[in-house]
Amino acid sequence: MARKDDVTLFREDGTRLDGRRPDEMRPIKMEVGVLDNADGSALVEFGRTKVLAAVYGPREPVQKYIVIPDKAVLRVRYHMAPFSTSERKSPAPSRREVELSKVIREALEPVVLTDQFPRTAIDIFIEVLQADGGTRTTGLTAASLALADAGIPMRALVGGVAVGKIQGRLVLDIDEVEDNYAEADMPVGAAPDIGLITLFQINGVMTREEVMKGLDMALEAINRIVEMEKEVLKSKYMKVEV
Amino acid sequence: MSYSSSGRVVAPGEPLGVAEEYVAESGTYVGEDGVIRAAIPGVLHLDPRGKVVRVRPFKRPRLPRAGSNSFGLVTQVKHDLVVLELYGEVSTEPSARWLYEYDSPLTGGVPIHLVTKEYVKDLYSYFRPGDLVLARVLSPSPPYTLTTKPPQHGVVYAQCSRCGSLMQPLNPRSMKCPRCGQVEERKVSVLASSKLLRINLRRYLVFKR
Repeated sequence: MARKDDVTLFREDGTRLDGRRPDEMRPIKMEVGVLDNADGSALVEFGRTKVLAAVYGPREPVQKYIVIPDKAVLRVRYHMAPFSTSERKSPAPSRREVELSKVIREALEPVVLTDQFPRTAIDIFIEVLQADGGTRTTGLTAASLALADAGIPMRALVGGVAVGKIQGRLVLDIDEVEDNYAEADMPVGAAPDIGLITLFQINGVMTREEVMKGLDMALEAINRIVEMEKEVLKSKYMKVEV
Repeated sequence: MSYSSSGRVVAPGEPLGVAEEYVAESGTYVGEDGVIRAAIPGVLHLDPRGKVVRVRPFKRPRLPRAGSNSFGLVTQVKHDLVVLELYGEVSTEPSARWLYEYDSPLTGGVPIHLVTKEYVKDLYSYFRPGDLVLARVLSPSPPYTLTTKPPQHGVVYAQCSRCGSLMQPLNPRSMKCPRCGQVEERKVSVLASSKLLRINLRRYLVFKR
């Protein structure tokens, strides 16, 4: 692997290695209802990152002791398929996956109206099919779509995107290569309709100004992502009506 | 101030009006800011006369609601409670017809005082493990409380304890085995003689031998 200062992640004209402007997202694809056996499902692609989400429930959990008397429990499993990376990933849940499952669950809990289904569990499975950076934010976006597809009431849709800092410059939606050489990575998840940030992490070093500017970039992008989510949900059912 | 019109397709989070203007009903919620928003994807219904907003869902979670006529198998008969595993629900009016199956089995129970109008001395003479029962749901969340007081509720299918064949309803309190002539006590549903219902529910039976 090349040393950090050997690599340049920008071209001479200021665009990134894949030709994007610093504030440009990768092309996004979204599809809902892709799995017949799940109550709700979604497939979301951010460039080469491809994530599948499936929602089951609300249902009675097998382990009855986990239920909460006045609301549903959310159970989230974030998992990377063994074939999702260039080198085979062990299918056993890693420490990272366990933590991301928790982070994504906590990013969904404030928007799902769990009090409508007391003593039940809602299961969300997030499967990374192809990883190229930004899998947690793509997974969060897919999970939000799958929940809506299952007809589970939510305060608002959530979306996520990461902002990175490369060679002192802030870039939107960083991919794997950029992440490997970046000084910082800042994933953000939010529900723009109700003005709520539900996921916020920083890995690396950023100044206060960079954080504020990066957050603005991320929120602006999340706005567009959530608008796309709405379009996808509506168009699925518009076709049914005809 | 009005944001929207009836018949439009909406997605979760979309503002539909304010709390002063409408009553937020199913598929919507009132946020902390007093704005009514859609909670699910669906078709918007605004009733300006009744001042009501609701969103008709494209898909709703399949769970029993209070008033549902659920069916399931008896898993346990305790001294004061019959424990059921519920698989789905049927409509009983005007005729019994299959409605739908739940996504996963749910737990419910008929407490002794909700079995019949009469005094029940021994629950075992009303239900036995393995019986397929039709009952009305009373509570909104699991474990569901059910009743079998109405005549259409009670046992639809029961196996003879002597020879194992399926018994036929004899009267509201007993069933008879067509093979060995055994008569057993049950709280029998009047719909137990409905051919359509029996055919539809037969596949849920688990034969004991």
